[in-house]
Amino acid sequence: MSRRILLFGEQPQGTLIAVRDVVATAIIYLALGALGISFAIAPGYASPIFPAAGFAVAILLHSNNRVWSGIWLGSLALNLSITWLRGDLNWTSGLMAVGIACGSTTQALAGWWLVVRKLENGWRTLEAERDIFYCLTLAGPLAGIISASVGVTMLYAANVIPAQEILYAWLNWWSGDTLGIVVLLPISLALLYRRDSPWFSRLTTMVLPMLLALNVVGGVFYAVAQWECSQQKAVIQAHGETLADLLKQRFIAHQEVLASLQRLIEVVPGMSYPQFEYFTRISLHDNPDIFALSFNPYVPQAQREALERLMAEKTGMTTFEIKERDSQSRLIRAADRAYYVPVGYISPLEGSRPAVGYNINSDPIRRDAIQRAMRSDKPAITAPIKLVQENRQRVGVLLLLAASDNAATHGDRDVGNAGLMGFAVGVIKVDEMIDIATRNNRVAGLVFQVDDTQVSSGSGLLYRSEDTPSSPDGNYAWQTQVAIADRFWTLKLAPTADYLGRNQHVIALLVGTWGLMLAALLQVLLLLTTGRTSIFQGKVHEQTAELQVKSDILQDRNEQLSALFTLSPDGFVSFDRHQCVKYASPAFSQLVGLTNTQVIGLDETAFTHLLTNLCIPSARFRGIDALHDLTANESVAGKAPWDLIELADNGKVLQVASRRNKTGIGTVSQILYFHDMTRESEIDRMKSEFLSTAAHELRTPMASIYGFAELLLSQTFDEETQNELLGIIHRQSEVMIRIINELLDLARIEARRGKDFVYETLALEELLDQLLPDFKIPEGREAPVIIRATQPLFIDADRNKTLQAVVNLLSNAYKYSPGGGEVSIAILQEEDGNKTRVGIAVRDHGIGMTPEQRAQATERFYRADDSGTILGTGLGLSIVKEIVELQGGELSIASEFGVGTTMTLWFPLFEPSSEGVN
Amino acid sequence: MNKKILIIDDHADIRRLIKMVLGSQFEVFEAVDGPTGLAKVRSLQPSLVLLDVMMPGGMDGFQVLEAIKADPVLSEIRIIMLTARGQQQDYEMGKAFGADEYFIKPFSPLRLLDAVQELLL
Repeated sequence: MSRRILLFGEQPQGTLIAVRDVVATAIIYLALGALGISFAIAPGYASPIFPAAGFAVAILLHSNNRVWSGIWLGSLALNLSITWLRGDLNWTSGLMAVGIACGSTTQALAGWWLVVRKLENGWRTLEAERDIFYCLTLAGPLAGIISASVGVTMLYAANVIPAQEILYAWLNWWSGDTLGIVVLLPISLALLYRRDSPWFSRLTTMVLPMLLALNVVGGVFYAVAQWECSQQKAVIQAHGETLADLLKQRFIAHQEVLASLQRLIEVVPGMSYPQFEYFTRISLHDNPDIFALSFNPYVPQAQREALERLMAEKTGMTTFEIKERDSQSRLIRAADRAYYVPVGYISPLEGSRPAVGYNINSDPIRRDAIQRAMRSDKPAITAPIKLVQENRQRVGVLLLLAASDNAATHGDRDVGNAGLMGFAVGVIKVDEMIDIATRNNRVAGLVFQVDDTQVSSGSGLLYRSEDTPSSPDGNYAWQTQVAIADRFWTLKLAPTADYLGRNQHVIALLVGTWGLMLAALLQVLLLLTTGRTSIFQGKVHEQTAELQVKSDILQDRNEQLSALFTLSPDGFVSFDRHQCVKYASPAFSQLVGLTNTQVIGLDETAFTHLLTNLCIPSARFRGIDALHDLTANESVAGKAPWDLIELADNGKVLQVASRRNKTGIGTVSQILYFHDMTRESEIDRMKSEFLSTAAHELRTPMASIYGFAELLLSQTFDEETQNELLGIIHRQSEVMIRIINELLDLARIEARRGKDFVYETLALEELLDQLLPDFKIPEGREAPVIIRATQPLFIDADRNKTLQAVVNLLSNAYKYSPGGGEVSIAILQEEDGNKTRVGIAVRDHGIGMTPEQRAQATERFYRADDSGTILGTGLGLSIVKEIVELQGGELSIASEFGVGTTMTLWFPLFEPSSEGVN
Repeated sequence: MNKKILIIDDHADIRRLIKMVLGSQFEVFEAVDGPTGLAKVRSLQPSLVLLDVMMPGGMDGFQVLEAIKADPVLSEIRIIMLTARGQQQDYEMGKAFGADEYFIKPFSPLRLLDAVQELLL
């Protein structure tokens, strides 16, 4: 196929056009690639179908490999766009995109090469099963190996995928490309060759159903993927809720520890350090996430010194003073305050000694919790704090519960400063607490983070699960608020890429792949059926065309035959195989005068009878059998294989012949043939009469010659008689010679029918001037009187023949005026209708003719002279008449018996054009 | 008295020829066409008529022959047809009408003489 239609229809060759084709190819590849990628489920670079791969092979086939660079560009642009959108665009990913583009282009080229090599031109129609099979297999699963192999190698080399995922990624990539080729290659070909057979009809029989099927598959795939996504989210949410519950429960346990400590303080306000430690030991042992438990008394300024003394005594330390941190974070004696909440009892004491006496009310975060605890009988919790006691940085919170002396005495707590003894404080290591709470409920790959949302600007981070290597997928992130004491913590949960990788959308992928495989199967089936249909249609077309040709030939033949029989002047009658008349041609009806209704259906006998009755008895129809006898004797010499009949009604003489169908094949048993011989038989008759007349005319002078010669031989005559008889013999011989010459003349003129006439422009005057000097005027006669015209007149005629005609007339004029008298020759001109004719009239004053004689005058051998005294053959006037009529003129004869005759040769006036006069 | 013979022929030369052959033994009369000839047959009552077939004057030789044979007075007259028409059918026609001899032109005058002598002597 020499014409090249690309995406925009007919195109001339040219660099600009080539560039346009390449760009168009790249754009379409990019669009189809993006469509394919849009089906990809995170994480991963492969999708269940990659339609661009199919388009690539199709456009290479269509452009004969011309636009391969467009595929490369399209693939490069696609992969660069993906990495750019992910924010991963760098040298490595750029190189990777180049590599993948090379792989895609090589794959398309390989597909093109394999298909063209194996199918030659079969791919243009994809009709035969073999072509469809090889095209889809070679370009699809076989060539599809290339891009997958190159691409996965690139991804692995760039550390995008780990080694254990290579096989899966390769399979995914390969199946995506294979499906893309199997599905999109035929569709693309159909769209590219949309004007050609069989693709044009495949637009509706294949492309449309395929697009519908792909839409359905796409829709189902999307729905299943969505469903799987929501399932995944539900799993994550459930896990998050579990975590939140565990967290809450852990805190409830801690609050119980703290509440019992509070009650201990309220019941035994003056306990000793060892008692405190004893009481708290089990709790600390059972709850390793509780870093310390302490009792921090509420110390108004007025009681500071009393407390410092009391505590010094109780702790057994030499001094006890209430401390705070200065701006350099050094512990110093606390400045005077309205009240203090110093660390009093603390357990475990070891490692916590530096904290003893520290006024936690000096720290804004702790003070905030203290104030909340003072207002409520419920535990209050601080915002995240850095635990000062630890060597390493650790996030912790303080849980405070107010203790008051009237609670023990009155059984209820009067919230307020009155009776406030201090605060039971638990120092909780948040990370350890969460670790313990969630210890048995961790899910690998689900990372979470706990924040105190009431703290502004990032310092609210309480906990982050340790395994957070890659960025969690925000799509699946879930968060909830957990009420911890009197504050709210936010639990944020998100899956890692690994987690999602382990929990692929297996069903969606399976549905997509299987759906696409079914669609591909449908595609193959549609290709096969449409291909088969197309082949059949092609054959039907071929056969129809063949039949049409045959039918045309037959019709033409029919018309020819019909024309032959209808237009032929010869009549035909055909008989069917039962020997009955089946058909009679129009000419037959016309010749014989029998209509179709009269003859059709008659058998041979009836037909013979009917025809015989129409003939004259002497030339009747002797029957079909007689005709067959004639035909059978055809080879006998001199026996014509036909019969001549003469019809009584119209006098026509017909030649009748018959031909039997001896093969026995066909519906026609015999044909009768009727040829009108009326004219021929008339001519025959005339010829015969002419011959007879000519013989007679020759016999007469011969009789004289023969007779007198015999007399002379047998008798002796005197010299005078002898001379006289010899004279007769001589004279009659002359007559014979003249007859023979004129007969030959006439025969020549008739045979040539004027074809040997040399026409030229003749001036009549000049003609006479030429004629007269040579004309032998009979002895004793005057030369003819010449009456000339007033102006030169011309005719277009043969000079010699015309001269011969005039000479004949002139001779006759002298001959038939034996008594003498003037002979004149006149040039005439007269109007004949709208034409002008000119004439040469020869007039004598001789014996003249009766009207009967005049009517016969031009008949051959007719002579007006009965006496025999005027020599002549009776052929002269015949010759004149022939000559003048062959030249388009006529001979007119005017005669009166005994008075004279005028014979005129009339010719059409010839008016030579001015340049033709000479 | 010599027997009378009438020649009916439109050609003067032929009449001359026959007269020269028969003139010495018979009395020969001439006529140039059919009607004249028939009239002369009636008036002369010849023993033999030499009759041409193709003649001007509206009557050909066969008609003259027919008229002679139809006339009981004349029917015994011997007739010799002299004609240029040499076809068999003419010959048969002449015989059928009752001609005694049929001579086709050109003919031998001596043999004509023999034939006449045979008929008349």
